Amino acid sequence: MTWIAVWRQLKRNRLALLGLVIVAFFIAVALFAPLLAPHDPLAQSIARAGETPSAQHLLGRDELGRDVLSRLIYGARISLTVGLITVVIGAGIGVPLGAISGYFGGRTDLVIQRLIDIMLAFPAMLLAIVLVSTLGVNLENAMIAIGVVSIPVYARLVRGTTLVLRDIEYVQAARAIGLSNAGIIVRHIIPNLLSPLIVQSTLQIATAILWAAGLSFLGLGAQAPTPEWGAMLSSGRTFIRNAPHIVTFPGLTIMITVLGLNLLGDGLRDALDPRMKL
Amino acid sequence: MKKWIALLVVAVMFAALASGCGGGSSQKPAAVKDSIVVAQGTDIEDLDPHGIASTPSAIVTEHIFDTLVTLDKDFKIVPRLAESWQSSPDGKEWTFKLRKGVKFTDGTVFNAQVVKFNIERLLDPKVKVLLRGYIDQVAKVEVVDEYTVKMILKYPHAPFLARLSSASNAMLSPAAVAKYGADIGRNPVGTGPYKVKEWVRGDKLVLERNEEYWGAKPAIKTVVFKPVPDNNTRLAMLEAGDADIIVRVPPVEYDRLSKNANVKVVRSNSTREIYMVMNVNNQYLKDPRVRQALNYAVNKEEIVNGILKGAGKAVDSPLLQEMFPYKKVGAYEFNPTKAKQLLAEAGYPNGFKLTIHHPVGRYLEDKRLVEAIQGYLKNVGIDAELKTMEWAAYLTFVRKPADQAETQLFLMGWGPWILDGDQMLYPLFVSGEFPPGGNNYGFYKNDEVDALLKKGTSTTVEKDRADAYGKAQELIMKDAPWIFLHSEMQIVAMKKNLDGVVVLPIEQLRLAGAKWAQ
Repeated sequence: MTWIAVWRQLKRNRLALLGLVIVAFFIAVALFAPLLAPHDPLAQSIARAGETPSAQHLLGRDELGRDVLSRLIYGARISLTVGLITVVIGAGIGVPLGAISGYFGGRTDLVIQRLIDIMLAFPAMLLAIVLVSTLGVNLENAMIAIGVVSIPVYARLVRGTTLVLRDIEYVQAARAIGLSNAGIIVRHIIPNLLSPLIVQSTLQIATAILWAAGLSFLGLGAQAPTPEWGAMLSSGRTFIRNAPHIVTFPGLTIMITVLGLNLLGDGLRDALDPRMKL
Repeated sequence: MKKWIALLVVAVMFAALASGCGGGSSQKPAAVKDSIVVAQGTDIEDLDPHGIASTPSAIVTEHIFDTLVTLDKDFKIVPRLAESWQSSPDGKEWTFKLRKGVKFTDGTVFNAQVVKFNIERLLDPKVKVLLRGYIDQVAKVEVVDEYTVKMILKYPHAPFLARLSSASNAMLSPAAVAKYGADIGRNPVGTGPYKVKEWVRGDKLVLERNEEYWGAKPAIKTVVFKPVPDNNTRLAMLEAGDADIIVRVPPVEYDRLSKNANVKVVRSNSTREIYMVMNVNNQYLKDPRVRQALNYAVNKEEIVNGILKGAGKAVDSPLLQEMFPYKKVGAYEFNPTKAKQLLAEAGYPNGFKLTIHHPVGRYLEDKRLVEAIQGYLKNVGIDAELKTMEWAAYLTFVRKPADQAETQLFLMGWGPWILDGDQMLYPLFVSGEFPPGGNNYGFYKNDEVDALLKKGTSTTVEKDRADAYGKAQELIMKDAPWIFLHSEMQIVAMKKNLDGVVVLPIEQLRLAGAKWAQ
């Protein structure tokens, strides 16, 4: 299926288009943060802490008098980075593991799958908390932790698809002409995994953003004064009665971004899955 | 069909909600209440007064036990179980005339023998006494007659009388100690206005009026203490009527709560001083110019007004105004230009990197406070990284000896139970009080200050003490071993019609005089 066909498919799905717009907007904001942000996201002004939205500060000032809008804009960079890096870690390890597991089968499969089972036995968030606590509390380690806990998702997905692919004629043919196993996996299996991986990664970025926000909310992710959305939510929550804008806007931002990614992911799944074709 | 079921469910939920609210308001008793529910931040560890060191526990033991002397609401030392006292001219012998006709709740008579027993128990190394420093100046206790007792000190010690007002120096029934042994902490027997009726750890502690109390009989029959760690939960309890008094109200809630017609908010000074300690062994912070620069860089007034919403007071001396012998030395004004200039003089025109360690939930707005300081330091070129630690781990961390200390700049507070300068200056600034044993966490050492503070603690001539401590306060301020910040105010909120509750500057409550207005 060509990308044009996918786009045609996607265009018909209004919700998916909405998701695409949200995600594109989010990426643009992250890329052009320094141009878009009206103020320095770290410039504090305690005397004016908690000011409600005004023409000067469209989303108001936070608990240290910093501009909420600018912090949200810079926060988009962090969330985007977190999303991408964790997906790279998770897919980077999960895809080869899954492919090897599915392609070779037998004892290799058994060992890898039991390892994955062990990882799946822990609730993902709990595992991430344990990892961060052991590695040390900062944003880099939070990304590593989230990346690691998303390995099983990829490994399972890839294994399932590989099991189907390895018996398909062109793979058999490649084997018959003497292509090595590694060659087959790299040249024939993985390219055919791309569509499910794209769908999964879109959804996984959304999950990673939520988890990173969750870890930062618990004080295990981004550290002050980094303008991370979850951390903003956490430090603003004490003011929910007096200055609700401090906590509301980061919450809305997280919600809309994650919603956008999920809508896009769902749309892509429909568009990329040949069986779903109308 | 489904729609109808959904509607029905919603209707039932609303009905339940409405009846719930109605039930709440109709439950108000018609008769005058004779109980009080107090929601505190933390639980009581123990009720053996000699074994406690935390304010939430002291609030409770101070209602079960009496000390020989106590503080009134103007911080003056007034009689309690001792009616009068006298010290010898050299300040080493103190004679106390005791109150007659006082009985413990187990029937034991309070007399000179009891005082001797208690002081000796406090000095006994086998007994767990966390605040032994509040009594170990005593060398010997002598019974002069049934109601006269004499204490002989190792050396003249001016704040001695104030120390006797500490909740940790209260009088226990000797008979009860003999009977319960190590379990005395669960079966406290005192002479105070209340006695323990029921104690469910982590849930509630119920005190009941002591009908044989020697003083004025309390109007309130039952007092319940509940541990509620979350600030917002305590607040909700007061507003919903589940608690009558709550402590440690978050400053940001002060304005809103003050507008509540059913609540009265008491905001008063406390003796808790908040400061950032600098480890003077640090390669940058060893230079006094750098330490002064940090003091100039931070806007103390803005912190008090913006972060604490006025629930604090910027300090202008190492000692608080409430404490003897406070001397106004003058604070470092907010002057980032001067800070940068001092940093340049010290050889750091482009600043440097530091780590700030801090606890969270321990002091008023502690996290926001260090974030603000991080911002101020950034303005003068110092790049500070924040490290949050859990309270118990934090204490272990800052109490490491000099050769193992990893501290650089860190947040601390000090809130002594007696209002004598000795209790603040000596443990925090004398070079003999380095960790792990002492509380001089920044390893500050100035021989002149050492000599002055030693002089201040061992003389009883008030003028000499004032001079010595006054000079010491000046020197300490100049050396700047801390970023001097502020003293906290305590915010206590209670029902509007509750009268007579005394809020002491040592963060304690006295409820014996409380009553519900008609």
